[in-house]
Parts: sequence; structure tokens; C-alpha cells
Amino acid sequence: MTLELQDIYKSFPAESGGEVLEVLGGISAGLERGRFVSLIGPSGCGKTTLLRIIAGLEPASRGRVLLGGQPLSGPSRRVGLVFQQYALMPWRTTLGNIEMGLEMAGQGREERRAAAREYVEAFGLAGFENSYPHQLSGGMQQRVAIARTLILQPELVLMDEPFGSLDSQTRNALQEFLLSVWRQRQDTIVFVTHNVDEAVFLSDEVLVLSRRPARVVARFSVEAPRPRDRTSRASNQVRREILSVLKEQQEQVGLV
Amino acid sequence: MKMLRRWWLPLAILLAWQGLCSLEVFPPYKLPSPLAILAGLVDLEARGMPPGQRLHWHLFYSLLRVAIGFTSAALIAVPLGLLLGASSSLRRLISPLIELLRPVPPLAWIPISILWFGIGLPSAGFIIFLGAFFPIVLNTITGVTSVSPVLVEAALTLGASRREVVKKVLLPGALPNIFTGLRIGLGIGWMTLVAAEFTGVKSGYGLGYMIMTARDIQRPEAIMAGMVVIGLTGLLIDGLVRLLQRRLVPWQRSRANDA
Repeated sequence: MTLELQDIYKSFPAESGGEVLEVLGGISAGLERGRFVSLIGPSGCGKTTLLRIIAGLEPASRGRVLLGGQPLSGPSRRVGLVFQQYALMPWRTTLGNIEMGLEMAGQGREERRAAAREYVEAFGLAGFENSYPHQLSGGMQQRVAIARTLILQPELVLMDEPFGSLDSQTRNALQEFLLSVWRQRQDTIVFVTHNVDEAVFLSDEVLVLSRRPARVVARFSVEAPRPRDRTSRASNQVRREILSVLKEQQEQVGLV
Repeated sequence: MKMLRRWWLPLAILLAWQGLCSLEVFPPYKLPSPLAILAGLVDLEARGMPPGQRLHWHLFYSLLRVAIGFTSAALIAVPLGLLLGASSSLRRLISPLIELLRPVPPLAWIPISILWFGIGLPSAGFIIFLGAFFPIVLNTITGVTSVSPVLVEAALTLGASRREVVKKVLLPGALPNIFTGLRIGLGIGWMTLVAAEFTGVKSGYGLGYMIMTARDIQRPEAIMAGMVVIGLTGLLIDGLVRLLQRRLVPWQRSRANDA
């Protein structure tokens, strides 16, 4: 097991007279090395909160996160996080953003430049090495952000709806791109999305969370071999099952 | 051609002004003509005001006072602003003090600063320091607090220490606002300086002192020539800071140009 979530609870203190907000209600799950796992659930169910806890940006109220058997506390280079809004430094160029983590790790200028250049090449960013983020398209910005995370070779890669603000064509292209990168590197990925199609297309496994306070209510394996056909019968079958679990969750809140 | 389109109104006013003066609509001892002011400017450098104390030395001393006051203000205000921007508890502690001192005009400090430092460079430097300090510190705080928390979190997940967060996220993120503060601070410092020099200088040099001398001996064209020098120098200094800003904040080029 690379990642172990042990009974994680999270509640936020009441705001001026309101009730305590219970977001996570005991999440337990194990994740093997090299797997691509998606987290899906009703909107506002705490997917992002869970990811932030694993990334060490937020403490859990109860429970533990173990990585390779050791408990995690606080942000660490062992766990990478890709944000939905890219979160690139606007004052750094493509190269400067990609090499930022290596810089923090104290790597020499020449060495990290060379490493960053390799990623620029592999991520189809050649010609934009010296561009600032605002000069890049959304898809390119997210590729820079992914490169910035992967260059550190983290043991675990977290992605928080990374393609959520892209148009559907760019989104499809980036999904395929991410899979091709992952096939070569075999990173362990936890991918948060609210898009069932995306989860089924990308993942080895899909974890479905309940509404708040969230727990894992179902775990699906997607066996279809890659490259996957988005419209194959096998894909449709898994999609149908996931959607029915999600619908159950939403009916309980009375959204449907 | 483009210059003409941009500057035609000031030029027209200058021409009309010269015309009215030539027709002796205004008495020359109240409003000298542009040409007379130009002659006064040449005279300030050629003969000096008072005679022997030439314009470029007045300018030099004024710039020196501003350089000392402004540099010391920037060296203290920028780090302090970064610190206060990064720590909300420190901000809560120090902010009331700043809010209390800030509304006191720098010029109101002149009497007490003369008492403390006497008339001379330290006292002038202190007044300019006060004028420049507050806009720099406040804009730096604003700059730091406006940096998106997501960028700080991104840096943390990339392995940044707290120190590195300040150096590599908060400082560059606040840089556009810091420059705004520096420009405002320098502008206020320059204005404060001239007024401070009105009240007296020890060296016998300074643009404000030069203008007051011209008033004492009733030379309106020299007074106005001095005003022109002050205005043009202020413009030039601001232009230099903007140039520096464009070099140091290249990712904001378009917005920096608008300011």
C-alpha cells in the first residue's frame, strides 16, 4: 500500500451561531503504488477537503494519512498537488515555474534548467519556455503546472479537478496526454473530478463519496484496457453503475 | 506629429500666455512671460541665486536630501510591509500605530524635527523619510495580502519553507504594489522636500531655498523658473522609477504602462 487513509474526519467550526460543518465522516481507503484512482461525489461533498488533508494543507480533525507506512503531517515534496486554477507564479516563465520545486530543493541552476527543459520538450511546450503564464492558453498552463509537480518525482500525485475549467476538446486532449505521461512513469495518482466520463476514461479505480459528511460508499474497478474507447459498452456499463450510486446520494438530499 | 497631437493644448496655452504678456495684459512683476522665465532659468545657472550659488548645486543638494530620506524609508518600509502583510497578528498589533501617525502631514513634523536634529541634512532627510514611509509600507501590505493564497499553497506543496514563501511568492507577488508605493512615496518626498527647504537650509543650497531667495529679492521669473525645474525633475524621477518597474515587473508590462 502506498497511501492509506485511516478513518479521516473533518469538521469546520461553526461560523457565528451556525452549526459545526461536518465535511468528512470517516474516510478509509488504501491505494496501491502506480494506480490511477479517481474520487467522485456529489458537489460540495468534501472531495477537495480530503485532497487538501492528504496534501498536508489542512489538518484532519481525526484519523491519519500514511504514505509508505509513515504518517504525513504538513506539506511535503513527497506529495504533489495539481490545482484546478493552475496556481502558476505569474512572475515566472514556463521554465521558471517548472523548475521552482527543484530550486527549493537546493538544486543548482544549470542542473535544474536542464531538467526543466526536458519537461518542456516532453510536455509540448517548446517555443514557450520564456512565456509568462498569462501568455499561455489554459491547456498549456495546466501542462506547465503538471510538469512542475511531476519533475519532483513525488510518491503520490494529487489532482484537484485539473481539467475542470477547460473546454471539452482541450479537456479530452489533456486527458489523453496525462494518460500517455502516466503510462511511461507509473505515478500513483488521486484524481478528483465531478465528471463521471472523465473518471471512467482515466482511472483504474473510481471511489464514490457520499454526501456530507462524506464516506466512501462504493469502489469500482475499471478493467477496460487502454487506450479506451469512451463509448464502448464496458465503459457505459461502469458509467451507469457510478451514476446510479451518485443519484442515490443526491436523492437523499432532495436535490432531484 | 504624434507629439503635436498629445501636447497641443499646453503649447497653445504657452503661446497665448506669451501673447498676453507681450501685449502687457499682465504686469510682468506678477506674471512673467514664458520667454522671461526661460531667461530666468538661464540666469539661475549662469549667475546663480543668490549670485554665485548656481542652479545645478541647488538641484544636487535637493536630490541628495531626497535620496537619503527616500532610500532610508524604502529600506525600512518594504521589509516591514512584507512582515506585516505576512503576519496578521503582527498587523493587528502595529496597524493602529501606523493609522495614528499617518494622518500627521510630514510638514507638521518640521518644528519638532528641527528641535531634534537641528537645521540641516538629518532634519530634511527625516521629513522626507516620513513623507515616503507610509505610502510604501501601506502599499506593500496591500500587495502581500492581495497575493492569492493558492500560490502560497502551491509553493508549500513544492517544498517551500516559510522563508522561501516570503522571498519567492509574497515579495514578487507584492512587487507591482510595492512599486506603486515607491512612486507615491517618492512624489510625496519630493513635494515635502521643497516645502522643508522653504523653512531654511544650513548649506545654503536647495531648490526651495533658491525660490525663497528669489522671492526675497523680488525676482518672479526666477521663482517660476525654479518651479519649472522642480516640476521637470519630479517628472524625470517618476519616469526613472517607471523604467525600473518595467524592468523588474516584466510580467505586468501592459498594466504598468497604463499607470
